[in-house]
Amino acid sequence: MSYLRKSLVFYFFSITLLLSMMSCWHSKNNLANDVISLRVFIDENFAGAESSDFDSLINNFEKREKVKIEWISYKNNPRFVLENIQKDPNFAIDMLYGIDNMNLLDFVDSQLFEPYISSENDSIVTEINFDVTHSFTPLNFSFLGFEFSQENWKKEIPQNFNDLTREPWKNNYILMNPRTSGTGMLYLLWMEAQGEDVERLFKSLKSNAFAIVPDWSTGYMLYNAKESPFVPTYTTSPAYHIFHDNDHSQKIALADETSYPTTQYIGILKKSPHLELCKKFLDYLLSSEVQSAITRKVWGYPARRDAKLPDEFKELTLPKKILSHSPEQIRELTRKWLSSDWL
Amino acid sequence: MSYTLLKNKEFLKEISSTLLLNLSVSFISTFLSIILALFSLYHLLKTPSFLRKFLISLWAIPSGISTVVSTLSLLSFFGKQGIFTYLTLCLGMPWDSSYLYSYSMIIFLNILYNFPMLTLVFYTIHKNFPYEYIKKAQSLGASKIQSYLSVLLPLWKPHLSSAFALVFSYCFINFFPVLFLGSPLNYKTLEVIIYEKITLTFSFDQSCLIAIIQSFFLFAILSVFLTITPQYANKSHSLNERSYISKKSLVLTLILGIISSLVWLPLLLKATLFSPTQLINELIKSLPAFTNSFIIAFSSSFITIFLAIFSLFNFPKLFERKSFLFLLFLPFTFSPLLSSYVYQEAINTFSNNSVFLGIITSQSLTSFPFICFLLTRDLFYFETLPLKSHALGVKGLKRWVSLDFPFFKRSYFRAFLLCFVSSLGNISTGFLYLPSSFETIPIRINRLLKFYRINEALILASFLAIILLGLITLTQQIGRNK
Repeated sequence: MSYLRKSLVFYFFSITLLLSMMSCWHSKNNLANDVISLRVFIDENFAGAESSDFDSLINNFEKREKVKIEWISYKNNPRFVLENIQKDPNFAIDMLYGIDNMNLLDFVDSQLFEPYISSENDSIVTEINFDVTHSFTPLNFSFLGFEFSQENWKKEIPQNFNDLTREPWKNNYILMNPRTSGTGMLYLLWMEAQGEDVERLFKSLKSNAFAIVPDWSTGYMLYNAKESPFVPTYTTSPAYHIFHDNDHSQKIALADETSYPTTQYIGILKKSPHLELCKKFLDYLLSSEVQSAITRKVWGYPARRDAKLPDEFKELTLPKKILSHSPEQIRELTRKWLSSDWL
Repeated sequence: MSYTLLKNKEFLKEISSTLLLNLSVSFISTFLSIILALFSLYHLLKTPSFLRKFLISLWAIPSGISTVVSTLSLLSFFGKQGIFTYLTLCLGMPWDSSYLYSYSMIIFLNILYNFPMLTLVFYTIHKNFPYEYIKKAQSLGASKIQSYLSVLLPLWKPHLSSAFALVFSYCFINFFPVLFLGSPLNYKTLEVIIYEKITLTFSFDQSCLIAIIQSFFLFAILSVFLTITPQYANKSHSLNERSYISKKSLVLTLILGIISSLVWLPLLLKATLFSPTQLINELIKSLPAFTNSFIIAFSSSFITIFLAIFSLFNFPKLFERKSFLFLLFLPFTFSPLLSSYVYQEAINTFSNNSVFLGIITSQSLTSFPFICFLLTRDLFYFETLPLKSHALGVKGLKRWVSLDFPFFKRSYFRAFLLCFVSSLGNISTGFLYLPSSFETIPIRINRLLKFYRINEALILASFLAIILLGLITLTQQIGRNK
């Protein structure tokens, strides 16, 4: 027994020592190449996604331009990053990705971002680009909808928000709290764009929902654990299940006729010491090959009109009509709702 | 800003209602955990030695498993598609899975998570307990009840109060289980509100204020219970093992063992359904995460042990003071989410955003008070040794190398392993900025879950559970100095 114990201790220390040496060697190798580093801040969902096509294209750019793209992930709210940039002049950041329609105006107003019209700008889908100042460039977009699995839900499918307030869907869908979730607030905007009485509708939806979750991730985790048959998400989410799990049963409800777009933008920091390189990188991200690959990284549509879509995206249906608001209207409406007591 | 917030009626209403509910849930969970732990101990002592060792290892696992894993495990057992739901359906007595989202279930999860750890703590206390006092009292004419009430209870009271403080603090700052299971109920802890304020709505001033309120309440409660905690472990008493074995206890402890495994076993069972190719692929993909976790856990444990030994041997008088031990516990009362943010801010300023350095520092700082506390109890247990070495004129490093280290090496190694296990299970998932290429096992599990790769997350969580089981068994084998 004593021998066994000594051996265990010996192996435990040996393995840890070996791993430490490997890590030191790895760090040394990384430091050996003295290349420019571009620090791009991205949201956690982008960081967690694995796409070998996208990664190899980024590697090509790194080799060609002798640059290292450092992806730094931040938690949920990009306002964190904005606050850090504003208060800390030494906060090292070159580009920021993940700004959506909800936050766009605040970030543009901060005047911290370099206006830039990309050489690829004419190829961008105009209906989803709401930044007239060109401080931010769209990289991808999607639409809002309610996801469900045909295997788990074989009953009637809701056609609009009012259907969800009825008995068959009681405790069968999740809502995101608009006070804490940007996605949740986008759903209110969608209701408003449909001409609904947002206050009345949201109150009814709230009373019929299975759970009000603080963020999209928690809601989607509950949905994946099959605790709720419907979840508010993006119309492109089923493509992920088709690609990874060969699951064709995931469908989208409510978004056939009209839907609300959610665009993800990227911006270059004015204070970046590598402005030209950042612009080159942005152009590269908008090139058709990267735009094709980005679909499987963000599981959204590419911002470029002519980018080739992977097969799984061809199974998805686009809404017949896109409803939207200007950034100024979004600010006005969200401020009004956030100051009300019904939310 | 804080003063304005304190005058905001909406804000105060939200905080006070959360606080009241939080206090009640934590209190009930703690009370029931202690009762169940005492019950488990009673029956554990009546089980054969081999089963006892097995159960001790089994009950140590929950303390090394992240709450994300335990919540998901519970979900895969009691959820709509869970094993239990399926079994009850087959038996014609369908279980309503909506009960999963109730206060009783949150309390149940708290108990499941805490009672195994408490049983182990009580078992260690029992091994050094002066039961001869009870026999003496009985020989002097006291009845059985009188001897229990006047001798046993006062001696156990300090241990029970420290156990209460430990479990209560865990329940009070509970985060993920409440975020997940509490959503349909709209039940939140202050920690969940801090999460909402800091990462979702970005109200930093509000989150700071809530963290201070949380710390204040927790520290007040801990202080009350820690004032009656024994400073040192009970001194040299013979091991009290009950010699008789009861079949009823054997069955009961086995049932309790299985119940305590609900926080990880369902996940392990699900993972066995995957093909070997899936398992190998996920392991290969997770190799950098394993490497990073091991490096960080090893380095932070090493630094923590070094700092703890250095402090204990240079300032022994300081550690004899109860007020100082209170101060050591102060960081535990602060919001873990907010402290990760503060650590990161501080570390980024000094270390040019080095992630490894940042996480190792924050891990070491977090574990330091706990390890100091643990070593204080172990080392002062043998307080005569340093005095003897002083009398012999051996001092400084020479004294440590020639006398202290050989004598206390088992304590050091045990503390190192405990530190290692706790680091491995909870490596800084709270950090707000991380390079996307950087992963530890818990960070990878979280990312996989966020990207709805539940199967891969299950595989990884199961491997983590197996590693932890091995390390915990090793820790149990090493034990204290004899």
